[in-house]
Amino acid sequence: MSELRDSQLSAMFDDELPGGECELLALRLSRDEPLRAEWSRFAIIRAAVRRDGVRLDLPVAARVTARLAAEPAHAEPSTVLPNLHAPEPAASGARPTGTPIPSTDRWLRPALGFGVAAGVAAVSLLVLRAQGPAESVAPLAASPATVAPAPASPERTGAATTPAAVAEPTPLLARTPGLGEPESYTVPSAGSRSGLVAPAQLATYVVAHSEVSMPLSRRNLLSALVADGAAEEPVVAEAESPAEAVDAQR
Amino acid sequence: MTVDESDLALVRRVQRGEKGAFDLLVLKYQHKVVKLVMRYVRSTAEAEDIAQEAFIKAYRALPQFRGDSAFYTWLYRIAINTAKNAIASRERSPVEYDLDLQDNESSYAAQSRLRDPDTPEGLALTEEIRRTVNAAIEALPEDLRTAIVLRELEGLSYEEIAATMDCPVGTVRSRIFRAREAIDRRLREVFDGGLGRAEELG
Repeated sequence: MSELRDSQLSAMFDDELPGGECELLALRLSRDEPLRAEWSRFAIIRAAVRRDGVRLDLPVAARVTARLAAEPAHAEPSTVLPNLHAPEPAASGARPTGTPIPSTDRWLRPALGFGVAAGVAAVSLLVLRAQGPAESVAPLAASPATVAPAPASPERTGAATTPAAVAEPTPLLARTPGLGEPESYTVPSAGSRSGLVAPAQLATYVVAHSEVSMPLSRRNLLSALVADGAAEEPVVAEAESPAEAVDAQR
Repeated sequence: MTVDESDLALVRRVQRGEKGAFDLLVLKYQHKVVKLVMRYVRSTAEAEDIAQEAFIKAYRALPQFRGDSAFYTWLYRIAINTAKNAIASRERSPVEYDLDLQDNESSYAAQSRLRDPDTPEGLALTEEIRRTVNAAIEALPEDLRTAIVLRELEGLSYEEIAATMDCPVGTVRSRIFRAREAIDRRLREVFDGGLGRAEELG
């Protein structure tokens, strides 16, 4: 056994030992003092045979060891060289421990995720625009920050549109198909947040989006969806006038 | 197999926080690095100091070593740069005299002599080791001697030695190991027995 180990040490010293065996022997070398001494003598033999012209009992290694005692040990996983002999990970997305993340991966993956998320959002928006009436789309985009509260008005007919109440800058618009100009500005009525998008459509969007979203935000969105669904009925029940009830149902 | 895998195995261990693995790299390359540095400086003591500094720099820079080149190539570049910087620094700044000597001789000369590693004892030990190794090689069987000389003196790979000696690579590995084992046995006797042991051993 010792002869085999010494034979491996000799081959390792010559850079002729297969990588896997190198790893094991390097581990052994870290703990086996006689083996380290043998390694040191191999170096002396080489220097003696090659007649390097330097003294053979060099003190450099001892001095370096003494100085390194005051140095911190390296233990940064991101800088560790990849182990070329480690088995491939089973999962395609998995990465061997200690393997540095390639620089391209560091920015490519988030960028891809962002791109997919943006694409899903854009497709959802287009589908919703194509499917629903103008008023079902417009509130999605209307920003409460740019829209003044709508005063209760008996003249309102149908959709809650109050062009005069819209403040600058111009919010997103509800457009009539075929026309370039906005048909109306839409102000969401109080308590109608759940009516912005039909829950089924939103659920579809969330499911599509969940593949690229973070688990935490996904949970929050799903919770909000459930909560909105539960809050929908009381809004209808609490409507004070038939017109508001119709608005709320829409 | 690719060259330098044993060095890479040790480098990986250093990068994982095992300082002892770096000692093995220093032991393996200290003679070569000192020899390299001696092309730039004449003093053996200065060459050893520069080599030591180069190894410390290499240790500190090891997290950035990605294995794109062989470790010794990377190490040699550091050693050469350290030697050049030392020369430039020496030319820029005057020699510091930090020895409190009573006599009138040059402090720098005294300092160099005090640090001179080529003491009679050091030279004697080096010569004894060399003699022992040569004697051990001469005493080896022909096939072992040829294998170790082709490896250590000519620097051939196992594959090249196998082609030269017309035998399998495994046989080359075995011959080199047995040659080293025989030389090492003689060398241990010198280290254990002290100076003059080589002459006793013949």
